[in-house]
Amino acid sequence: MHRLRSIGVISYLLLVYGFIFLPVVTLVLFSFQEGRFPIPPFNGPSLKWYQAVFSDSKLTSALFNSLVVALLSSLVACFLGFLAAYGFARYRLPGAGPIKAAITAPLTVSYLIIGFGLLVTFNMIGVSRSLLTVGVGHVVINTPLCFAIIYASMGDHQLNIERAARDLGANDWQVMLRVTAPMLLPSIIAAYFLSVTFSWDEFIIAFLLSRFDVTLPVEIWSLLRSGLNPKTNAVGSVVFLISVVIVLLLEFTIFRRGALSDRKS
Amino acid sequence: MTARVEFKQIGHHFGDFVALNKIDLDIEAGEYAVLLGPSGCGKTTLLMILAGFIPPTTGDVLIGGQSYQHVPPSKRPTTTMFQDYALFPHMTVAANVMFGPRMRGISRQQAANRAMELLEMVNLADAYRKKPHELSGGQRQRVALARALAVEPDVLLLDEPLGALDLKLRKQMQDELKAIQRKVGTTFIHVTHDQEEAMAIADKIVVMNHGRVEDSGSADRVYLRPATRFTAEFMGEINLIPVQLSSQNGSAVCFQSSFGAIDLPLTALLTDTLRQGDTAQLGIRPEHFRLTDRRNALSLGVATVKSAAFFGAHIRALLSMEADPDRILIAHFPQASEISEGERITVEIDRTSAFVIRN
Repeated sequence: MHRLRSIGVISYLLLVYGFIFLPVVTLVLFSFQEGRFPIPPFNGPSLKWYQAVFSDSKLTSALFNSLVVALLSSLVACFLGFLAAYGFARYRLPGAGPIKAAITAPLTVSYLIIGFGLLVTFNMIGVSRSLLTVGVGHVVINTPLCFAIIYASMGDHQLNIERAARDLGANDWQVMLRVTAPMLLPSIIAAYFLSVTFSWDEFIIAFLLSRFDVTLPVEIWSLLRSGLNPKTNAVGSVVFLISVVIVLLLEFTIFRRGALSDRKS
Repeated sequence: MTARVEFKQIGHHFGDFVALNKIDLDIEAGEYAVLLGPSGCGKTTLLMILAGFIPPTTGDVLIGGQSYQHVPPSKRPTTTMFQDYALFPHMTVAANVMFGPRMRGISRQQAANRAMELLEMVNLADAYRKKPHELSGGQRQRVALARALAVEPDVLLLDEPLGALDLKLRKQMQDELKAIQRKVGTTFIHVTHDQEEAMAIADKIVVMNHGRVEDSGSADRVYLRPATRFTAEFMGEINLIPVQLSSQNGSAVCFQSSFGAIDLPLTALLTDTLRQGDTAQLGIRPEHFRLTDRRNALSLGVATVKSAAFFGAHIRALLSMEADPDRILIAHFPQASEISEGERITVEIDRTSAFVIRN
């Protein structure tokens, strides 16, 4: 009976993980395909499609664009999110409830609506589409996320620490820069990396708001329009690899720190 | 590096709730004062007003004779040691202690020297490079003390600093706090709800309740001759027996009680507004009971021992008086006393230690 149950548990586990990871495994596997089609049977391995990706200047510049947009827009989103969190946590504001709801609302709105709204707005005020407008779009979707993560980590325990800093002679800016921000660093870093991964593989807003310079997901989409090709698998694997690297970075920076501060701060 | 503190008519309201009701209180320069009271009595609010974190609704606080109305905490000659220590978790112990001097424009080198000096004073020189999470509760406490003293305040405010420590460590820290206060000479104002802690360290105990000062004075005065019924009850176990003033002459007062007539010296009367026929409370501390005849003994009559428990330093007994069996008295007898449950004993008290206060 016990044995039967553990077999059930294990097969359920395999089924769930298979469901989640099989598409990724297939994608990565066929990126090493020798032939011209990413379909069974697998013959390879070969790195020729990776070579094709990195010699395609459109793809490499899109990859670079994506990185720049992700890193910079997340920086801005994190900064704005931190300021908003600090304001809500440390000052009694009139109408704080509705304002807080308004700042987190974009989390519930579809990217299509946000992208479309921004497109109309930029057209109206005469801003032409570029990587900058894509970046602005990503700031719009990631600021609420950064705010929510950082705000959740601000508690009353830190309030006394900030009081102590003020009591010892620090002014508001010194308190924020030397005490609050370093204290919240784990959650700020978490918010930053999460924001980077969201921006990194965001398609709809980037598609609507870009023109000549595009980000990687948009470039991959135009690649897909010309049919399936192991090259798309190779570039997809690169995207996946970078996401994995970001997650690992997150794991090693935040969860290490978390483990330390859990030992009672 | 020390200053006198004067509270002048300090009042504080949270909406309709009166947290502080016109507090007038003086604390001398270099004094170790303890604000003592149950939670919600306003003692921490008073401390936060002095620190500048809360503006008072009415009144003013003078520090060294000077008013600091509308002056933020950072510009006051006070520093606060918080209950949860509030150490900066991302900085080393040294950086924590250096923070205040650095914020006040002192050079890194000088601040580092000062930090080392203070950490030596609190016996933590070897923790210089450690982070707060690597220290024990008692050690964090010392770092917080060093950090607060690093800016050389005139007045150090301690908000229930020993609340999180175990009993042994608490006693040890009490002695250390007092020794350090004597050494630096700074005025210390310490908030606690523990009357034993207050008696262990205070030069002056300020007993507070419901936003008022009930009593203030030295530990022995407040304990042995409390100004109010609340103080008498809060400072330790006490037997309060309702009495009625029957007569009073030059050197003695006589009361009627359910145990019969009780004669006391005039000094026992702690209120001067009592008239003949008025009711009051006779207060007897448990340790003022006697088993054998002594000088100054006053007999309360015969009692039955309801229970007797060994408490280490004394035996704590519950006594039921024959004259009024429902009134149970708490008495402490010396460790070696031989009393047992059910025994009938003659109850005597130290006549000079009993006191009479208003209802």
